[in-house]
This record gives sequence, structure tokens and C-alpha cells, in this order.
Amino acid sequence: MAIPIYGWVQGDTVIVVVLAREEQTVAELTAQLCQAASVRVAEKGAAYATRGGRRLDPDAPLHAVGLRALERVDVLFA
Amino acid sequence: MLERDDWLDLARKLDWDFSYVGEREVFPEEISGRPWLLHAQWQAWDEPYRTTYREYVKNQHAKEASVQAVHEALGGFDDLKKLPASWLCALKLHAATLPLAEFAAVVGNLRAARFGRDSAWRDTALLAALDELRHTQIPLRLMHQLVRHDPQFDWTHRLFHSNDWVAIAGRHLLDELLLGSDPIEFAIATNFVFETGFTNLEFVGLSSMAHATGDKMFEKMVQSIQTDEARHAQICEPVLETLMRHAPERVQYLVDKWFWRSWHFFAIVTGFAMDYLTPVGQRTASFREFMEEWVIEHFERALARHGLRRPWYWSEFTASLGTYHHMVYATAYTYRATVWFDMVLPGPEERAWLGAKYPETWPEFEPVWERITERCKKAGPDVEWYTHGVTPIGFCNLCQIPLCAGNPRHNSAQIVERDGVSFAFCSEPCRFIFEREPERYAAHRDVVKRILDGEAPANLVSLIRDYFGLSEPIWGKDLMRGRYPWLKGA
Repeated sequence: MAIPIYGWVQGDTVIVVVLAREEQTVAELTAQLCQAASVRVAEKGAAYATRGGRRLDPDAPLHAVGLRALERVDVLFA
Repeated sequence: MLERDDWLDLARKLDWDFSYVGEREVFPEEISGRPWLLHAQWQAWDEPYRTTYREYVKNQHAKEASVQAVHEALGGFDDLKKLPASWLCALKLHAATLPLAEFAAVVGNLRAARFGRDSAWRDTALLAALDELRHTQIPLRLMHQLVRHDPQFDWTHRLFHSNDWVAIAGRHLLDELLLGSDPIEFAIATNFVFETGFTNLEFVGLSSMAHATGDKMFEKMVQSIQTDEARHAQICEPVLETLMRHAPERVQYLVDKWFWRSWHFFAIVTGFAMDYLTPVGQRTASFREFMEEWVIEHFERALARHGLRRPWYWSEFTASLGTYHHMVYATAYTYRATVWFDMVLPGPEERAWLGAKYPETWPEFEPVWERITERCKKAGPDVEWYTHGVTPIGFCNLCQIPLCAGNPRHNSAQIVERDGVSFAFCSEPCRFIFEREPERYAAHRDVVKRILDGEAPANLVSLIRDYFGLSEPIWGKDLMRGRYPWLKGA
């Protein structure tokens, strides 16, 4: 099932909205968000995703981390 | 023959005791506003201008003649063609947002002309309604000739009848501020906060830039409007005097609410024009400098005069003076096809100026513009989409503006669930306003919810064309189509 996610990439000026699939991994969502922000933000190192300040397991599928529709995920650079 | 002052109060003070109906029936709280007070509490209402209708007509006639003279002398299309191209973009932003906003203010004033609680208030509000009608007509008159020469100018007349995101945000603000508010809220929100607090940004600040760019018509237009604003802004003073005796916390809440909402509006309309669309050589000060001098200093004095506090989010507000319009502009530039005016890619000279004016915050924006510049250079001239976003962005469920609050290090958006529905707020003050009156705001759907409900297409091009109503000749592009002389060496 597709779920819309609010995503912010460190260094960006706005929050984007991407449509993710429940079975895709956190790493894939992270890459999706970086791509969405790439017109304004150059990747500055290894990107990782956080929710509510807690780092998400990059290998976990989205359904496993309990990500729900219209939640916010932040992408930070190590 | 009676002297003016002998008969004026007889004409202005026409309140009487009702015999067949009660005062609450004549002035229901739902329309007249709260706190509902007996007329005895309002009967000292007065304002310093005390203008008669005869004087009003005479004065306005002279002002109209003056505007018309400037229009005839300097308002031809050939005169406008001489203006900087980027300044014309600022004019398009104003041509779309100004006239219908002013027209909505006619309605707000007319409601006060019927349901204001003292006859002198109603009398003054009637003249203010006529003012706002004039403020609608002046920009339409002065800029109308541009319609046939430029399809983007033509589209400015359609904005508020479209579902463009700027129109959705504009209607959300202006419908509540001007069309839906009762006379008490209108007096505080429009007359006190919006007009007394903010409009000097346009009347003094942007007017000085219009002068510097050689746009005598815009300069004359806003100066002529200012002379009216000064008079009907006086409506708020006696309203505040009474309210502060009976409901000071309600006044404080309305000030807190409308200052934040007005700030977002002006940060975009005036902030874009001052810091990005006016050529560097013609900028007389930065948007923040004008805000500090003409809004903050004046407004703080006005608050103190009435025994009001600064809004509770004051530190957040002052921090956003150096960030918010930069956040929105960078976002809008990379989604420029969603608006009806072209936008400028700030070059080295502009960025050096912004760096000097915003030394604490601009360094955070440099990487964003470096990135966009790099992509612009790589794409070459006439390639819009390589410097344009393709992914939908989030919108605030209160102000309906993209989630751009905070800074590039920290976006302050909050996602809040309420009765099983998710709401996004760009900032704590927007959330505060929403949560104080959820019944007023909760049913309004932002662009993202419209997409998810299937009302609006998710594909950006379809969204722009089919939902926002913009076609390729109209939608915003890079002003120079990527042909900046400085870009060759960038």
C-alpha cells in the first residue's frame, strides 16, 4: 500500500511530500527524499532518516518501523 | 447657517434607545462581535478625523485627479517598458494580490457600517468602505493597460478565482480577515494590526523602491492609498479603548493571531519585492530593516500605548525576520511554474548584498543557491525543469503556505493528529491559532489533502495546468531564462 510521507532533508527550505510503499526500506525512502530535495540540496555525506529525533533502521521496511500516512521523516547527513 | 462643528455630532451621533426590539436583536453578538456590551459602553466612540461626507468627496476628488495626472503623464505602456524587468515581476505579484483584497475590505467595512456599535463608528466605516473601493479601482485602472501586452498581467485578474496555491492561501487569510470577521475583530485585525502595523512596509518601504526604480505610477498609487489608510486606521483606537476596559485578554489573543497571519502575508508579498525583485542598485533598505523601523518600532509603541503585550511568539517572530521570506523565496523559485510571475535567480551581487544585510542567517541559504546555480549552469539556457522541483510539497493547515518556517538547519513544521485526521502546521503560532478555533479551520483542506482526496492531480504538471489553472505562457519561469551574464563565470 502507498503511504504519503512528509519529508525534510537537512539544508532544505521546505518539506516535501512523497508517496512511499509500505514494503520499501527506510534507506529507499531516504534516497527518495534526497532526490525530491536535490534541486536545492546537494548530498553532504551519508544520509540517514529520523522520526521524532530517533534514527530509523535503514534496512527495515516502512511497515516494520510503523510509519503511518502523513508522518514526518527527517533526513540528516552524517 | 450652522458651523461645521455645530452640526457634525448631530449627524454622526444618531444612536437612540430601541422601543420595539432589544439592542441585542439590532446588534446580534454573532455579527456585531464579542464581547457584547451595551451601547452605553461604546457611546464615547470618536476619532480625530471627523470627516463629513462633503469633505470626503472633495478630498477624494482631488486625490483621484492627482493619480490620473500621473497616470496620463507616466503610465503609458512605453513608460512601463522602461522599468527593470524584475520590478515588473513584483508588480504582477501586487496586481494579483492587491485589488481583490481591497475589494474584500469593502465588505468588512460595510459590515462595520451596519453592525458597529456606535453611529460614529458606523459612519467612519462607511467612508472606509468607499476608501477600499477606491483602492480596488486604482490598481485595476493603472495596470489595466498591461493586460493586453502581457499574459501574466492578464492572469493577475484571475488569481483569486483560481485554485492556485497562492490563491488558496490568500483566500484563507483574506476571507477570514475581511469577509468573515465581525466589526470588533475587523477593527483589531484589519484596522489595528494589518493597517496600522504592517502597511507602512508598502507605503513607505516599497514606495521608496518604486521611486528608485523610476516607477512613479506605483509610487503615486501607494501614496494615494496611504492617505486613506491613515484615516480609517483610526477606527481601531476607540474600539481598543473600550475593549481594553472589558476584555483585554480577547484583544491580546486577536492581536497575537492577526500579527502572525499578517506577517506571513507581507513576508511574501513585500519581502519578495524588496529583497529579490527590486534590482540591487535600487534597494533602499532590506526587508528586515524596513520591518524593524516601520513595523516593529511603531507597533511596539502602539501595543504599549494600549496596555497590550508583545505577542507571545515574539522571539520566534524576530528570528524569522532573517529567514522566513528567504525560505519561501528559495522554495517558490524552485516551484516557479506554480505562480504567475517570473522569478530571479540571485547572482553574486545580489547574494553579497543579502549576505551583508542578513549576516547571521544568509550563510545558511548560500548552499541552496549554490546548488540551484550549479544546476542552472549545467542545464544551460531555456531549460527550466532542471532547476525546478517535481515532487509535491507540504502546506500549512493554518496559513496554507508551504511548510517553510524555521531555517535550513531546522524546519519547524509540526504534524498533529486530531480526531484521527493529520494536520500539518508550519510553526508553533500557526498551530496555536488553529487550536484556539479548530471549528473554524479544521474542515479546510490544504493542497496535499486535495491531492490525496483525488480532487487535485498529484502529477505536478497536471496540478499546475488543470488545478491551478496556469498554462505554459503564463506560469512563472526564470526571468532571464538562465541567461545571466554572471553565470558564465560562476
